[in-house]
Amino acid sequence: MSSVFADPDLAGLFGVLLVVLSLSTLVGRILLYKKKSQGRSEVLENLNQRLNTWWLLIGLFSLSVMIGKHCSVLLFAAISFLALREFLTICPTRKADHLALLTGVLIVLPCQYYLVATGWYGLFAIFIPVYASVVIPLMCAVGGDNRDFLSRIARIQWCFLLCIYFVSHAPAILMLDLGGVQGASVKLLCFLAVVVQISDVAQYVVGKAIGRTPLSKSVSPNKTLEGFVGGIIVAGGCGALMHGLTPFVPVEAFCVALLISVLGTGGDLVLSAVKRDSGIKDYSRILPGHGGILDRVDSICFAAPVFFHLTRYLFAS
Amino acid sequence: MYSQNKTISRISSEHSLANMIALVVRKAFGLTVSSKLSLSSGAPRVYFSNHTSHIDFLLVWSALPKETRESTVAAAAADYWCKNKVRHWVASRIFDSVFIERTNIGRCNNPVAAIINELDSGRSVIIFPEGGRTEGPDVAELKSGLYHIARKRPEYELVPVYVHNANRVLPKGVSLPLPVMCSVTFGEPIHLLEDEDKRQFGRRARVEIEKCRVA
Repeated sequence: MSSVFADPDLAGLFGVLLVVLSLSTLVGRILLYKKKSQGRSEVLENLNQRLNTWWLLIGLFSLSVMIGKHCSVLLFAAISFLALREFLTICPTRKADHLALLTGVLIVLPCQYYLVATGWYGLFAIFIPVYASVVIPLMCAVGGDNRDFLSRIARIQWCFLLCIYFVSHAPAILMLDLGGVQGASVKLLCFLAVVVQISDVAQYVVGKAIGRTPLSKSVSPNKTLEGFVGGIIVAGGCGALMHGLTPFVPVEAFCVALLISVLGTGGDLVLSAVKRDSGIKDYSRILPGHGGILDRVDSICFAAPVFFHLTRYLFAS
Repeated sequence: MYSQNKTISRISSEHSLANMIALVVRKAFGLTVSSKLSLSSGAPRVYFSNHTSHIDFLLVWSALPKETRESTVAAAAADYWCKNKVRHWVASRIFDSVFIERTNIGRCNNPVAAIINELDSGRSVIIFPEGGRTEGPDVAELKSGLYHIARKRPEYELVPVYVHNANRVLPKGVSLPLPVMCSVTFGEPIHLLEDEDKRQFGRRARVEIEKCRVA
């Protein structure tokens, strides 16, 4: 617990987050209070709901970081589980897949996070792509139902890849040894999480303010080109400002943050396409104002694996 | 007589266990409840639902508010739930079920009479009028029990219920539940119309369940 507060960069980051969140909440409440006399405003109510949920999310994340590595791993395991549950809910499977799906939830997920917690990189990297990918389709085949077989196993495998494998790369950052500096990996995880979420928020804000050209009308009608460009620049800028949390120099931090932001948008678009395909608006209503867990961590899903391997390749010893 | 003994013998630890189970079910399956009527009404009702899985009853029952839940019992098939001691204990002590016969129905073990008995003593009953679990999400043809309840006791509200996704949580013949998000939709209560016969009423009740499915 003490190590986090002792670190000026992390303490600064959480301090800034606290101030920004408090100010936004204050403004949100004042606006809502003023509008009350003129009747209900859905946009403002949603904004306030979103802010309340942000308190919860940032609170949980900072708490887990403060308590320690295993707690962060546990938090991401929980996120993985909730994401998996949401994805399975919309993912058409058949009775013959029951065993395979249960194996994913009860065995693959805990094992993957166990590997993260123990820092067993070699097995962590191949456990799902090799072992689960061999066993899962086999289990579906043993189920004896051939209908839609190929699309069923494809869906199930991608679901495990997305909700377990990809998400687990965020806490996997904690296993990186960045030149033997104590607590460096924790700061890197915070860097990733904050940059991704800033990118999301900035894209939303810039898009609402000056957005005109839709990025992809059929997939995500609310996303605009202006919002995208503005968002990644803001995210890059914030990344550069936060270079103290990373082993990067400011220019590198800018580029990495830019990359994270672009990948995050990619994840957002892909998961929006999945939603459109399934005819739903949100993955669930578990996070008031935001929708489901997958609506919130879609960007992390795509940014975390690339960020992890890039950093590991370039900087980890 | 049987039902009264049962209520008295239920102890408070079993009550809190039941509440805990309801909480776990709601959290584990991210249960969302939508309803066209107030669920906290104290009046006895018949909730009639589609049936795809053993977990259906748990989901409908957990979806109800606490006060209502405490006065709501399940209609459990005697041939299944009295088969061994564990099943019987779960059904009678935890969930306060009224056992009904599906086979060998005679004068003294009439399922409709047992349900009406519960209603008359102020409790609501959850029934699955399809008469057994179906394989998929479609609602099967209903058995006539619901009609007989409606005819003999027109004063009680009959509430259609649709349980979404339970067949994916625990399909027939599977023993471990898969965490998939479920929802329960309560529709508007129906009553038997004056000139309605058994078949017409059964068809209408089935449509009402289907309506909850798309709502």
